[in-house]
Amino acid sequence: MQTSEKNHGSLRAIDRRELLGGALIAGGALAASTLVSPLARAFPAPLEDRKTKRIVVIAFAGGVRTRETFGSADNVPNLKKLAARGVLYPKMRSSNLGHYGAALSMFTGIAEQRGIRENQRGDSPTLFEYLRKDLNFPGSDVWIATSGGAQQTNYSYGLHAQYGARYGANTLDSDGLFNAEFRSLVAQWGRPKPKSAREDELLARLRGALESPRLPDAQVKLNSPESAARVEKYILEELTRGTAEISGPNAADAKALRVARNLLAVFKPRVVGVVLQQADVAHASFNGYAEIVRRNDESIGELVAAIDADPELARSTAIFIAPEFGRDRDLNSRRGLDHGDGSDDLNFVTGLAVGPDFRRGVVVDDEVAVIDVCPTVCSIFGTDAKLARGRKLPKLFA
Amino acid sequence: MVLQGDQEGVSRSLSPSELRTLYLDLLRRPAFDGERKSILDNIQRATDGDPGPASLITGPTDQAGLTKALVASRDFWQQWFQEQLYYFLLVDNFAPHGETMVSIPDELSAGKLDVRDAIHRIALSSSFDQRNPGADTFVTVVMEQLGGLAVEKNRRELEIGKAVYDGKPGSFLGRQGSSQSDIVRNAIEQRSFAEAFLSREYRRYVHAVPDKRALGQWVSSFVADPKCFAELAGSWCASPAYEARFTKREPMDNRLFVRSMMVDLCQREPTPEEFSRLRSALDGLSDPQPLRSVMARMLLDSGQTNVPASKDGLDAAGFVEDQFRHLLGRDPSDKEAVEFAAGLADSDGKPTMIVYALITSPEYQSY
Repeated sequence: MQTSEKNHGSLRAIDRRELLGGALIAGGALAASTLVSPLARAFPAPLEDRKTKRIVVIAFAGGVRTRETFGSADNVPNLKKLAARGVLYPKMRSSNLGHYGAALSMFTGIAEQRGIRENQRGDSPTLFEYLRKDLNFPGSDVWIATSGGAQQTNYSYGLHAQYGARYGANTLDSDGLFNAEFRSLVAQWGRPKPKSAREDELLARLRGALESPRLPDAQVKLNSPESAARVEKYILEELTRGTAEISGPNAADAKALRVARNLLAVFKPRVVGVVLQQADVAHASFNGYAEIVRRNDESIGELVAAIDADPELARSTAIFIAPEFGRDRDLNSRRGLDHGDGSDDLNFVTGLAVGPDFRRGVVVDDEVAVIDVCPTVCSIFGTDAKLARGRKLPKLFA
Repeated sequence: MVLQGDQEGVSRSLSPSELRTLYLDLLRRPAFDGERKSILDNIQRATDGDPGPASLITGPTDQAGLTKALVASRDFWQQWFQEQLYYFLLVDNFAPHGETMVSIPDELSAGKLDVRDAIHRIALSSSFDQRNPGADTFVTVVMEQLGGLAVEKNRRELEIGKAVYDGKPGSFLGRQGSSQSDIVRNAIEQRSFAEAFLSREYRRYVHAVPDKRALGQWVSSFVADPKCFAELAGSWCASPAYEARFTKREPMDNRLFVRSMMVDLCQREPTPEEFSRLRSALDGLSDPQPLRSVMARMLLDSGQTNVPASKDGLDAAGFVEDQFRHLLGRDPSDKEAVEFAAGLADSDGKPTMIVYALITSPEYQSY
């Protein structure tokens, strides 16, 4: 549902004081176009005229309150610079469905309760499935980089009969794969010897000769053989880059953002999702949580800088960032922050959208929702998230 | 070759492929060469009807006997424990290392501990606490994963549980409590725990949904004496439902793939470090197939496997037949035998290529 442009009361240009002026000046982003023009379009430009060709969706997950992001003076200078280049949604409703269920809802557009430790896929299609099925994106065009281990590969696709694995995103849990331990195992066993074209041909012949009986019905391939070969090559190359060496309290999140950066450089994919997780240290330590927020902001800044430095990516990439939910209003007995008090700090987060087709430097005060990200992303590419319950984010397009 | 068995008075047989399946389900690895040879020799002697001296039959020769022997082994309990840890996502940084935790498989195997107490101990460990920090998360996970309860339908219980977690007295799941450990105890003593646990374990071993009436009976037995679990698991794997399981193949999860690959190629289990690194890397991918292929290539090219590096002096047909039996649990078809032997004889053909083609096949990666 597109919000009418008549509702100007909820749209305002970002105030310099609000975003700590320095950030805006550093971003150099506030030009005349940032003022809310009555001529601004209510609807996006026709598909063929849109500049957005690829989208990065960052779930700034693990439970992050607005107080520690846009409500804080120093924690997120990079997000503030980005906000100055895009649209800020400070009243984004979220649902405390557990980290897994809540982050999944950003990709499915449906808020469904999932078990916190439930290592099962959701029932609904993800935005990756809508895009791959409707627009024929190949597997190597749709990625998601995560930091939270096995459970997070379930963001790739759901169990809906009309969608599923064959339309899923390639998921890389960065910390599970790109770590010093796995790299040392690769060193111990040695890298695989390169195969000649003749050997590849022979191997294909052997595989073609197999007359395997009774294979499981469910073994549907996410990647075509060509796509799988590219993924295989990428993994081997990524192991030699610096990702495995990243350390520090937000190492897993930073690796996910680094992998996203490298994926953009290597594959120039249409969609990259990133799911962060480490802010959840907040349960035991408020200070540790604030530090993760600061460091993740820094890593997001590096990702954005890499996009800006590549002319093709800079002119064609949109970015969406939002936490899956916030955290409690008050500290717990361990001087940490849980998530379960039902407060506005928990239920509302601040989201942000930046892109070549979007407005610049405005704040939309309408109540929106985390589940709006999925239908919005799909609509930008010209398809519909048919089963999503979210709406398209209002007042987004320039 | 068949393994004679007798179930409900009906004579039945077990093929080498089914023997492989049974091992993979119960010990989460294929049989080592020595084990397989010993079992199949025993079966051969028994089926020939001329076993010779009784001492030559050194182990069970039917499915029920073999299942019972496997369930009684320490390996079975070690894998049961590992699967529970994985269910609770107590892996990698959250893997428990304390003595009271690592001794659980030994205690289960010796009959000093039952599975309910083992899970109780897991849920009281510092690893579980660290994995599920804070009242909301901890109580939610206990209700969902131990109690088998849907939190969204039991919001009031969640709120009471959170208060109990914080030390306030309250009636959580029908019993008084005032601490974190009371939360766990009250959940584990629920009938719904037994139902969720047995249902989950049945699906894991038999790959099917349990019959409701049968499940109700198992739950009653389990609530009365949790030590019956070993007997239950054994009976499941010698039941008509398990016979049906033999007729369909199940995809291998990453843990099973890693263990199978290492046993099949190196005749040893992976070290805990190897297992953890390989499993974690594979679990990080929504499509692990490309990385499984990379791992198989790395291992085969490392020279650390039992696969001959050279085909010199190798009987091509015999090698191909051995590899099909070893890795797929079946003989090659005529066409496969011809094509694979020709592939090995090709100037670019190598024994490792034959093995690589088989181990990266969908057939190997299902069972």
